[in-house]
Amino acid sequence: MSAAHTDHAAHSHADGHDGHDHHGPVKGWRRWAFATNHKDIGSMYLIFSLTMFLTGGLLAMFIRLELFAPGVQFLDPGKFNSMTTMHALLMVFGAVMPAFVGLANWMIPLQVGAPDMALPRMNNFSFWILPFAFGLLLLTLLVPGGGPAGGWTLYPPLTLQTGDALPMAIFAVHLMGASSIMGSINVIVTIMNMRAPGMSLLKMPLFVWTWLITAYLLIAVMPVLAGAVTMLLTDHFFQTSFFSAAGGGDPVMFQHIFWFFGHPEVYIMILPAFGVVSEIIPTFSRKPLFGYDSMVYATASIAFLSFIVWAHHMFTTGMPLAGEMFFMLSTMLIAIPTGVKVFNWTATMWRGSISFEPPMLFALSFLFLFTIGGFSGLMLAIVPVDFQYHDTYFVVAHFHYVLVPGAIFGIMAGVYYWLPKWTGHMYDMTLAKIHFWASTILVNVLFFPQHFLGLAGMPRRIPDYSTQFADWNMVSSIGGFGFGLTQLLFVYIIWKAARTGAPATDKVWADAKPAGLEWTLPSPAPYHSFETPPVVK
Amino acid sequence: MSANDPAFEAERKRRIRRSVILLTLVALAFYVGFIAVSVSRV
Repeated sequence: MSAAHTDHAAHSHADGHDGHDHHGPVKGWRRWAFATNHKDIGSMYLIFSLTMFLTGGLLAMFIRLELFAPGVQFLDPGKFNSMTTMHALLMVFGAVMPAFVGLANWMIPLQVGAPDMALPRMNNFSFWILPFAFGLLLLTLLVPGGGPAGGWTLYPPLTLQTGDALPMAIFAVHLMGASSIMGSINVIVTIMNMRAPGMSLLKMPLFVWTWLITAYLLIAVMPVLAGAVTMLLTDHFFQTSFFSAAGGGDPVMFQHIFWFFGHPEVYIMILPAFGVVSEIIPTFSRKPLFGYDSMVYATASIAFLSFIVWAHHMFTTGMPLAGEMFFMLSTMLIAIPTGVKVFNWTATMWRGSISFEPPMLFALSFLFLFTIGGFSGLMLAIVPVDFQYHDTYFVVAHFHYVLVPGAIFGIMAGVYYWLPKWTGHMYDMTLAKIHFWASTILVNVLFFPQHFLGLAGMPRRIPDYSTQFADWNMVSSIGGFGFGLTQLLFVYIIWKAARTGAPATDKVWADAKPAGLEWTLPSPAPYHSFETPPVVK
Repeated sequence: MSANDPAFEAERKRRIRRSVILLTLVALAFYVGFIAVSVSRV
């Protein structure tokens, strides 16, 4: 990003914001129920995602408790399957995606120099859909037949055996999709229409770029998921046979449609984290980002490739050799733009004056551990190898390395980077570093042994296992309990900062000279961000 | 035409409205299109 030079700071606080400070938010519950301010809505998204992260994490604790030792101790197999399904749905749709939408709501207007998002009322609507969607989803645990238990992929015919929960879960997925699509439309029109004068596309911060590309991905694939679950619904209630072999349909077709959504979804969850890391590494290396243009093109290339790799999730369903070759090679191609990014982040740090504040620590952990998840992904892309690893704990280890130290550490890095700008308060650096080290060590204790379990043949989605897998499962569970507890510290750090943290300066990381329009605003950022548009030179 | 100019604002609102309609149509096309392709496949 080369566009931090602005004459905004020199004049507009005096003539722009101060004049508006007297009409801040309305008081009481109306502020939140009828919120149209991007910061309020961003905060609600972030708090909601944290709630879902803790709820999904609690389900993960049940899963690891059951897997602590061989034998069925706490959960019957049906409940266990329900726990894994709900854990995944909550984490993917309730925790990771809303967290990035929260970051987008907070940061995109600040970074492009806009007063707010382009469509504030739709912004309110897209947020308030979510509590109803997840309330509905969680209520399925209480209906006859229990919650959905066929896995987050909702494969028929297994998912069609769900009891009364099926239509509720499908309606919840539709609501989540509608929320995501509205959020994405808002992001795109804000970025394309509300940028400060002088901010050309190639002057935008990387976080804005990655979100722009993510929003296009979302608009393309969320309707596909909605279409797939609509067809599930009609198969179940209206005697259609889209996915029923008995009626001339094909259950494998569901997998093709689902993964046409599902693989881009993986990038929807990781591209904004790339953007966050691309903001943090230059700041704490005290150097401009190496290869800005190539970062943008690499992000776009990853997004494009994500549409033509879906069947690598389905090698074992059986497909022509040419198909296997195509999907294997196209998947491996993704390593090239991803490698460009890892190289650029590393080159940014090269000969930089690096300091290790909590955002940088999380960004570095992201860099190392996400790359491990990327490498195991490359292994899974190899067709004959995938035949061995498919549906084992190796896959569980792979995607958790991508999503936990990848996406979630990216979110935490972003929160630690921008929290002082949001609240006007610094957080406790020592506690944040303890949170970092505990998280980084324990996430490896939790997930690294799962590679060994998978390579030894332990299947995923089972509540019981052979005694040969006992030791590494126990280690993994201990890591899981520790990692779960550590996240309570994260909540405490945020709460403490918001209530009693020392005042933050406007630049926050002044010593590191962070680039970007958000740092030209006071801390906390005023209720109306840029009423006088800054001029980017 | 500056960013605070009413004519600029009107033009920006028009562009935003057009973009929202276009993107909504794209999303609907993906939704209906995939169901339609599935119908023809079955």
